Amino acid sequence: MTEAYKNPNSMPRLVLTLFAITAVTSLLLGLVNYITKDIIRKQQEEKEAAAMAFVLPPAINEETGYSFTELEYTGSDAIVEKVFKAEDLLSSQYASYYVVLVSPSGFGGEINMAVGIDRNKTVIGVSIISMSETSGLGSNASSPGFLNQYVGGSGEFAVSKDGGEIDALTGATVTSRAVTAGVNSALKAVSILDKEG
Amino acid sequence: MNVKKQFKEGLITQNPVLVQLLGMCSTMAITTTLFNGLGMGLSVLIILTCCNIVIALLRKVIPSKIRIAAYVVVIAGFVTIVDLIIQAFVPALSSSLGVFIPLIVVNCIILGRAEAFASKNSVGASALDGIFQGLGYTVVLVIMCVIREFLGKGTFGGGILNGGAGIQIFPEEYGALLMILPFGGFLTLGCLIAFVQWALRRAENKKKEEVEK
Repeated sequence: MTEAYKNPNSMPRLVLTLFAITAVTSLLLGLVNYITKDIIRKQQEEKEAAAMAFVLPPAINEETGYSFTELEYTGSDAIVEKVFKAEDLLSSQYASYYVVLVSPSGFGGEINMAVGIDRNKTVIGVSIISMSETSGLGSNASSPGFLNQYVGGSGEFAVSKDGGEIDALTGATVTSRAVTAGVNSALKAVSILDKEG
Repeated sequence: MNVKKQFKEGLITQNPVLVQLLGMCSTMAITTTLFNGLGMGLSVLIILTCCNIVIALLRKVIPSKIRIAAYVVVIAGFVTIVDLIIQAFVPALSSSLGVFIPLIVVNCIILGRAEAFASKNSVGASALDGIFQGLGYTVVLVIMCVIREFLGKGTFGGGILNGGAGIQIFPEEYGALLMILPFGGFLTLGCLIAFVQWALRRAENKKKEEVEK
């Protein structure tokens, strides 16, 4: 064993060295993950909550804000992640909206976004929670100038290249189509739920 | 250890991007705003320095047969650590650089310096090499960001100054959008490389003339 270990090209030496390096690296990674895991999750949750509140009009009840109830989504659209009913209650005033979390596939992976929809199935807000689109091109999808094009519309959207009225982002047609598909799926999900009562 | 020589090599004569032509992919892809360039450059600087130190420390332990595998494990480890830390503490940078932080694993600057420098030199010299090569990379990224951002969008300091929008120098609609597109990346990089080659050759010729005299 010691004889074999001294020769730098012997099999046990190669295996042991590589194993030791890998083990130490894994240990370090585990440690860093343990420290950052909760911070990253908290940030993700905060981002999601902020995006959900962002797509709705300011709550009448300023103190408690909206209360969200998750509804069961029965449709078959894989883009739809979660559907929430947002309720706002202050003495006699009551308002309720839908918030749909969708994740269409963009140019660089899934785009996680929140779509706010009112009872008339009109889009009241769109917000992007996270995405990995090309920085400087597709990542511009989070700009209000682009997302506000959906606000106030209903039915089905399409980008102008496909004969619709949404102006696509420069150099990022795939991203624009993906966001449009996300909004369309959210609208469809709400209309399915509405039919069920 | 020759600090001055290493500094000069990292920034100019052996600049990782302009002379060694390493790390082209990230150079093209992310140099669209100053924030991206600085963030990416500093991330690479930190990872490169850490990797160089560890690899220089282990240079006598790692058998040459498995050296590439060992380097890649060390590099991937550091990249993942930096990625997690950025996600936790600078989420804005993480969302704007997207997939390019994990892709530092295959950024050839790091493997290239490990193989060409850290595996043959002392820990101190390797650490300095990491810092100077990383600085050289960052400086080129920042120059490219400033040029592309200015010509493409008419702004300076996007993502940092003026609440993230950058200072508008001329109206955005007069910007040449192709400078932001990959085409503009190639164009800018090509001009920079040509300029540096010209300057290096001129300096060399001058030296030769002086010697002949």
